[in-house]
Order: sequence, then structure tokens, then C-alpha cells
Amino acid sequence: MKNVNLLLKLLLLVIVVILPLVIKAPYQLHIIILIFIWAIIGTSWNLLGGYAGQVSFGHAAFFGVGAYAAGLLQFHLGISPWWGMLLGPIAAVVVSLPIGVIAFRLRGPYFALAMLALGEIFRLLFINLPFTNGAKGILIMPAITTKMFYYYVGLAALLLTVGVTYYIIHSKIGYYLVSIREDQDAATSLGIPTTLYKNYALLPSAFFTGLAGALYMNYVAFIDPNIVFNLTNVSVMVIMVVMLGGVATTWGPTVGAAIYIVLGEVFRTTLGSANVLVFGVLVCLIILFLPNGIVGEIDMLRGVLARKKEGAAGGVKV
Amino acid sequence: MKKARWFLLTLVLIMGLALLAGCGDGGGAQSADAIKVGIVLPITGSEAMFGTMEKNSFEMAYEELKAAGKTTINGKQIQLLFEDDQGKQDVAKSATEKLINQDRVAMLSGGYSSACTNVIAGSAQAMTTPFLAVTGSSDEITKQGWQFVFRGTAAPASKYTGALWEMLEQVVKPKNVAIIYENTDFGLSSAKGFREDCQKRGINVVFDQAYEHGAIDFKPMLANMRNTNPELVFAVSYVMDAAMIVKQMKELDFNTNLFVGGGAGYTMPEFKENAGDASEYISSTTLWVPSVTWPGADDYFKNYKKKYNKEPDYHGAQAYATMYVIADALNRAQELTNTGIQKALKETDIETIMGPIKFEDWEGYTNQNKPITYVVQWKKGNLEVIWPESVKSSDYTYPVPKWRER
Repeated sequence: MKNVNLLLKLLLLVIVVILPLVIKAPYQLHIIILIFIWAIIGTSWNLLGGYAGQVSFGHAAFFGVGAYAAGLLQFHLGISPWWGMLLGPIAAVVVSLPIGVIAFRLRGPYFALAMLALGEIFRLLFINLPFTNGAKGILIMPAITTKMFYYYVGLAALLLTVGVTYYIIHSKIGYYLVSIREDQDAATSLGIPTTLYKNYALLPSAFFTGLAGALYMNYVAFIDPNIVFNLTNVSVMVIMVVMLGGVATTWGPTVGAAIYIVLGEVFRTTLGSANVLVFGVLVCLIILFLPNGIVGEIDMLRGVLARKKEGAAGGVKV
Repeated sequence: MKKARWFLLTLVLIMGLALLAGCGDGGGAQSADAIKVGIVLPITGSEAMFGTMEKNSFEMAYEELKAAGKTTINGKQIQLLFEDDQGKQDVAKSATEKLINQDRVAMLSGGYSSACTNVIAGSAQAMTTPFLAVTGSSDEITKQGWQFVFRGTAAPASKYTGALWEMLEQVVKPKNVAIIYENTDFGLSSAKGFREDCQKRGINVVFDQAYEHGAIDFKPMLANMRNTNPELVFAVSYVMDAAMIVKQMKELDFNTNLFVGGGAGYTMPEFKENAGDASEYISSTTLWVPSVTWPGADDYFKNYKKKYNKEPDYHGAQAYATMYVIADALNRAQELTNTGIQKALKETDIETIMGPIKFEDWEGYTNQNKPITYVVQWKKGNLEVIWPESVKSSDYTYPVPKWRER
């Protein structure tokens, strides 16, 4: 069984790698690139929010800082924004350091509120600071316009993010994080330095969110503070993506991002003005009936399918 | 468990149906010999009010052109494909990608907010598809030297004030002015243009402040502004904030000789409805009013009101005029390829309900029409043109009476 699983995973990887060579349609590739970007943000958020239980409403701050690191390089210095792929994540980590020290003194809803405020603070800062070009944002003409390139960059970034997250979760840190989520006081009494380990979750989370931001800047080629530091369209959306896919699961955020982007796009192009409404209703239904997300409920889903088969077999007997 | 099963079935069904529908779109459902024009507008979301007005105007113009036989070129019919950008820029990017790569449109149009228009313009230029912007008025859009991006009916934000400056120089001659503006691309660009024009003329800017988009309490800002005693206030706002500002000025009994809005909110019918009698004597710059003398303007206003039971403002006129520009260019194009349409657009010289439109390169702009602007003033609930004097529908009132003396 384990071998079959591994084989399936390898097969999936091969498919994903050769996919852009088979479907050359730029529109479909564009959708997949968006999925990659959101999957990276979702996976990063999941490390902090899902495994360590520190629900952040302010990941837009890291996303935006990453995006602006790339954008400002080009805007002020004329340096290719691709260097932002390096600088963006580092900038996000630098930003997250003091935040971790301060905000992790808070718990539960207070932590969530502090992070929410953080995202808004960054939005206001970037609107008003002199060197960010304010609300006018940064518009560039990307040097590379083939979708295939962004596809592979996005894929590599996603695999790296998932890989690092997987490694962290299956190391000692991962167990510490889960114990903090389940009962922080018990974890402390066992001698786990909780604030330190929460920071160990925050730093990679900020790093990869910044990476996604830099990729976003390079790909979409226009950002302004109201877009990248947006509360609903970034900070809350990433939570939706993770909830939909499955909290504290390795591939949940990726599955969630795929569903979110594909369904959103399909509804938008087919349902006219009702698209947002239908989409919202569907998300409500998923949360109602699959509270642990698609991947989180996978065993239950398998059970449903298996029972169906049993039922069918039973029918034949009678 | 049973519930979950039903739910799963429904979900699979929905996704299947949606996929089928999606395939139908991409497949041969549409006739191959149509000239497709993709139009990206905010049909849902916070800008839906403007987007819907523009979509209606596009469709109205299309029907008129169809009746005149101008939508069929060599047996091929012009087909409008509308896409909703929800007022979000990454959705605008998706919509543009779909229109260009999936629907294979001949050209693009639309674009309401500056952010969305930026993204559509960038993608269109990258994929060498002609794009004619309707409303997005950030200066940057036509300052990039992008040869496939055209802007006809919208002025760069810093050029909204042409007529206003004529009037200020000849009538108002202010010494102290205050500038307040919404902290958005449009607000910043407009305020920057106005500020530079003031400095050029040696006018003191005694108060200069941005406020947050969506703010509702302006009293602290207005009280500070009153202390600086400006003769003229120039404000750039959308609809709700515009109404709040003038209402709260009235409540504070804060009088100036003239209050001028920089387009956008101050000309909308909703501004009058929300501000009530505080809207009286408020002036604004604008790109269009129903009473302009360009042929067809009045008909458009009346027909729109009859058809949709709502008054259009300059945003609708922009879309309506843009449709005429598109049809004209497509009819003249030697060949219906991207460069053929680009060439035809570049050679445009047409009179629309927004005045003559030509795409020229000037002052660092590329393919940018030289805008004609107006100054309007609310009088007894009607928007009257007060400048330029050659097209005025009413005399200007200056200085405006104090709040208490009305």
C-alpha cells in the first residue's frame, strides 16, 4: 500500500512537471500560476495558524512586504524585480522578528487582533511613506512574458514551501508546535519554551509568504498598498483557502487554493452578476459539512465512497 | 454522513456542470467569423454602480450602431464579450488573460479603477493586443510608452482641471487654497496636478491633506482647514465621502468663496441625493455633462434615462463614446489583426458625444486624447455648466452665499 501511494505521488509530480508542455494554453496556465501563489501563502499560513494554532489575520503584511521588496528594487534602483525573490522573503522575516517578540505575548483572539492591526498598519504605512510611491502603486513591464517560466518558478517555490513545512512538522519542532496548539500551559509545564517555538513557526511562515509576494509582483506586474495589504482579499482569503483545503494538513492549502481559484474563476465567467453570491454560498456549505476541509475530511470522504460500494454490492445480493 | 454524501454529490455535480459550461465557452459555441471585443468592467463589488452604468452604455451604443449597420464588417459581426473584474486587480488580470488567450479577442476595452486599468493595460501591451481604456485615469497608464494602449474618453487625472484653471485665472483669482483628497491613485494624481498648477501661479496652498478612502468623519480635518482660512477648496472624492464632506461643512458653518470637486463623486446623481441641500452651489470639474453641445449628447442622456430609468453621468458617456470609437476603428482597419487595429485606432479622428477624439503623443503621454474639461455647479438640484463660457448653461455663482444666508 505504501509503495502504491509513493508511486501515485511520483506520477502526480511527473504530470505536474510536464503539464505546461502538454497544455500550452496561456489562460489555463495563468490560473495554475495563481493557484501556486495562493498555495504558497496558504501553506505558510498553515504552519503558523494550522499546526501551531496561532491564527493570524495579518499575513497580508508579509505578503505585501515581499511584493514591495521586489517592486521597489525596480522602481528606485532599476534592478530586476527577480532579485526580489531573494530580498522579499528576507524582508518579510526581518519584519516578522519584532512582531513575533511582541505579539506572541498575546494569546487566542488577542493575538488574532494584534495581527489584524499589523496588516492594516502596514497598509497605511505604505500608503503614506515617501519612498513607496503611495497609493499610486508600482507598475512595471515584466521582461519575461511566457507563462511556462512563471509556471515552473511557481511550482518550484510551492514544492520548496511544502517541503520545508513538511520537514519542520515532522521534526521535534513540529511536535512542540502541535502541543502548543493543543494546550499551551501544559506545553510550558513540560518545559517547552513556547514563545521561542512560536517564533520558529512564524519565521518560515513569513519567509514563504514574502516569497509568494515577490512572485506576485513579478507576475502581475502591478501592486499598490490597497491590493497587497488588503485585509479581505489577502489576510482573510488565505484563511479561507486553508479552511477549505484542510487545516494542519500537508496538501490541504494547495487543494484549497485550487478549489478557490478554479471555482471562483469558473463562476465568474459563467454566472454573471450572481457569481460572488453563489461562490459565497458554496464556501458556507463546505465549511458547514466539511468543517475540517477537503483534505482534513478525506477519511470521512473515503468512508462515504466505500459505503456506497458496499451498498451497491448489497443490492446485488438481494 | 447522509448529509455529507448528498453535499458531495451536489458539489461534484456543480463542478461538472461548471466545467462543461467552461468548455463550451472555449469551444466552437461562438461563431468563428465574429470580431470579438473584450470589455472588462466591475459588474460586481464596490464599483459595480459605475461598471453597470458603463456596460449599459456600451450595449446601448452597440444597438444604435447595429441599427446603422456598422457592426457588420465584411460579413463579420462585432461581438462584445463582457468580463467582470469585481474591482480587484488580479481578477482583472485573469479576465484579460481569458479574453486574449481563450476567446481570442481582436481588441480590449473597459477598465474602471486605475489599479485594474493598469493591469489590463500591462497585460494587453505584453500580449500586443490593442486596449482602449474607458475610465481609468491614472497618469501612468499612457505614460509608459505602450504602443498598444489607447486612452480616448478619459483624461489623465492631473489634466482634469483645464477649464477650472481658466475660470480661476479669469474670475476667482484665489490667493489661498486648500486641497483635500482621497488617498487613492486618482486622488493623489489629481491633487499633485492641482498643487503643481498652484505653485506655478504663485498661489499659496494653505492646507493640503489626504484622507483615508471610505472615511466618514471629516469634522476634525474640516475644523483644521477652517483655521487656515482658504478662499477656495479643491476636493477629490468618490460619492459617499463627497456628500459627507459638504454636509459636515454645512454643519460646521464653514464658508469659502468656492468649493470645487475634482470630478468623480461630485457630479454623480447620488451625490445630490445624499448631500441634499448642502450640494447647492458646489462646483466640480467634469469631462462631460448632458447639456454639452456635442451632437448626440442630449439624445444619449434621454435614451439612457428612458431605457434604464436612471440618470447617467460622465462615466456612462465615456463608455458610450468608446463604443463608437471602437466601431469606427474596426470599420476603418485595413486588416483585422492586432497591428491593423492598432494602426486604425492611431488614425482615429472622430466626433463623439464627448467631443472630438484623436490619439496623440504629447507631454510624455502616448496615444492619449487631449481632454476637454468643464466646470459645473449644482443649482437647484441641477448640474449646470458654468465654464467654458461658450458652452455654459447657466451663469456662475461666485462667491457662493454663506450657509446661513441661504
